[in-house]
Amino acid sequence: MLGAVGPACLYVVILLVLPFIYLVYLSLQEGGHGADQTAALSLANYVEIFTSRIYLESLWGTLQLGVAVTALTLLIGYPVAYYIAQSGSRFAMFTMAVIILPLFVSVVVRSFGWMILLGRQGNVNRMLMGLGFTDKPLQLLYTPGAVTVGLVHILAPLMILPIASVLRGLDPALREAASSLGASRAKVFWTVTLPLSLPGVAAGCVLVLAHVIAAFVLPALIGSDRVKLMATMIYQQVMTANNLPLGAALAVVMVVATFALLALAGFIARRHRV
Amino acid sequence: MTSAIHQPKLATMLSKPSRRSLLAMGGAAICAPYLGSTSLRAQGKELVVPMSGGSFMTIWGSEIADTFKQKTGISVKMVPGNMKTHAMASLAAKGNAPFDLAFGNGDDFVQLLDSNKLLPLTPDKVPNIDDIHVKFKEQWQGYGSMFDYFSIGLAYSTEQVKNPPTSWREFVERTQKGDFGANVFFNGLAAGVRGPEVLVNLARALTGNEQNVDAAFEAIRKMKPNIFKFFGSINDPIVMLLNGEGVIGPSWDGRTFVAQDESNDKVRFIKPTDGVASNGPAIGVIKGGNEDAAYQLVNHALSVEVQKPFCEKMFYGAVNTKVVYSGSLMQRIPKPDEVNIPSERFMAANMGSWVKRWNQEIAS
Repeated sequence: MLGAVGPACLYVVILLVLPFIYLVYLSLQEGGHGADQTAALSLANYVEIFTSRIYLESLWGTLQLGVAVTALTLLIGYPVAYYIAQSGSRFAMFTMAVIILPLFVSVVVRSFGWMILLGRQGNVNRMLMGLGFTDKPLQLLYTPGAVTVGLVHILAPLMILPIASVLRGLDPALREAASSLGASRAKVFWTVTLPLSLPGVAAGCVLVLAHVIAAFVLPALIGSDRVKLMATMIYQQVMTANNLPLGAALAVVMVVATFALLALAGFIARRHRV
Repeated sequence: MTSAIHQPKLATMLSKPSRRSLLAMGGAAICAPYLGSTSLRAQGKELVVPMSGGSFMTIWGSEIADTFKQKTGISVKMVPGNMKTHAMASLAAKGNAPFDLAFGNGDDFVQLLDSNKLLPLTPDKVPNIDDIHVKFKEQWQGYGSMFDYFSIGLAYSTEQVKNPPTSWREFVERTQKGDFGANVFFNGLAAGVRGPEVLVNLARALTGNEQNVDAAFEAIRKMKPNIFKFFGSINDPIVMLLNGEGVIGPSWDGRTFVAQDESNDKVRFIKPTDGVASNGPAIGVIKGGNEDAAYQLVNHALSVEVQKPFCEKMFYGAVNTKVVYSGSLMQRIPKPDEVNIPSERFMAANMGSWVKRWNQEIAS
């Protein structure tokens, strides 16, 4: 047993646990230009994070964006996943391919695609002007809305695939039994299919939320400085302000928040396991 | 039953690989390319130089590394990546220096200098140092020099702006008044697009003192309603001008010249009369590397013979005062007396507080 698990444990310890321990150690130091590197360890960085309006706004903004993107991907993704899982048609397979193929294209390239679509001379503005909704181009790019739309587009597959996988694994006899006992299609969905699909929903939500919390590239390309996210704050401290300890502290807060959400999702999944 | 046929260990490993042997072969495959290189470096026949990548690295390779090898027989191995990460590797190294040259951003160079990681560039070791304009080497206290310099002025769309500003002061005032609509872009401070250089240059243009950043922050704060994007990529200004998103804002000279030529004059560069923001990568010799060969490479990189072709291809300014540009570049590239090189120590010492202030006053 140890022989089978040992290498995997070693891999996780060396590549995840030890670096995280070092990250925590770094976060307890003082940093920045001219900082005294021999100073004793302290919680000063954490105090700064939780007493600074900017970092609290970033935390709150990141969580807000995470919830919004997760909710939107769930709203859009669940029907698509249901269709893929329940329909036996060839079009369902084609839909699956359409969902998976963009995963092979980098986030940067897809972000540039959104820059073309949402630009002042882009397709969306041209359509709006053509339909008479506006007489001059709207500022769609470099806004919080653009970031939300872009993240939903990029992360939708991560919501659709787990849900489709769980739905495909459901025993059709359960739905048939409910129908045969007089339940309508809607009632079968709400009382049988949806509860049984919750582990897939939880998995999809965790994946999407974790990616949004760590999102950096797309917000940098099509967002604006006014959209402050945790990943951006970390980049600023490490790469610009040369304050590695504060950057490390922000990273620790981000990791802890992500693991807390994972724990919550795990709790929900366990409660609904059949 | 014991087999009478004894297979060699390697043959067994290849024909019936176990998990252990696969891991061993994988590790060897990863390390193998470096073993040969380490050997060349140990013999003094190879130098390892940090690079950022892209066209800068490609042209550095052809104009400097290749010509250096032809002259001395010493290979130059360029390691692409993030310059700050490279600098951190040099700072963290105890004994065996990962790079032979220090080459990168000024704030990282300050840390290398203060950590006693650099060797002095004396005229006996680097004769070409005497031909470098004093502006590009004075702040490195004899331990480094800039390799080249870029210039940040203003770029504008010729279709949208018929009466362009001629100075930073005029640009600021007209942006605040809304002359260009909400179509102005500006450098993000903390996005690696030379925001600090533009900030201190703006302070100098408005008050005559680069350290009076309060005036610059105030000016940007008043411009903010008409700035639709604080950009985070060096290519953004030209992209935004060409796709119609923006009409005017700070931009790099070289990239604007290329865009001007390729777009048939749809964008143009303004060299503001109150000074051009400038900076460039600093170059020096790391202690503990191949020091003698590194000195030779630095001297070669600062020579007229390579500075001219490199800078003409990149549209960058040459730090060697003996370089005479060809053709139209002579008028296009700002001269050393026209550019403002900021104090790296001043920027490094204040960057943390500027980032905080930017997030509170500008990016909100």
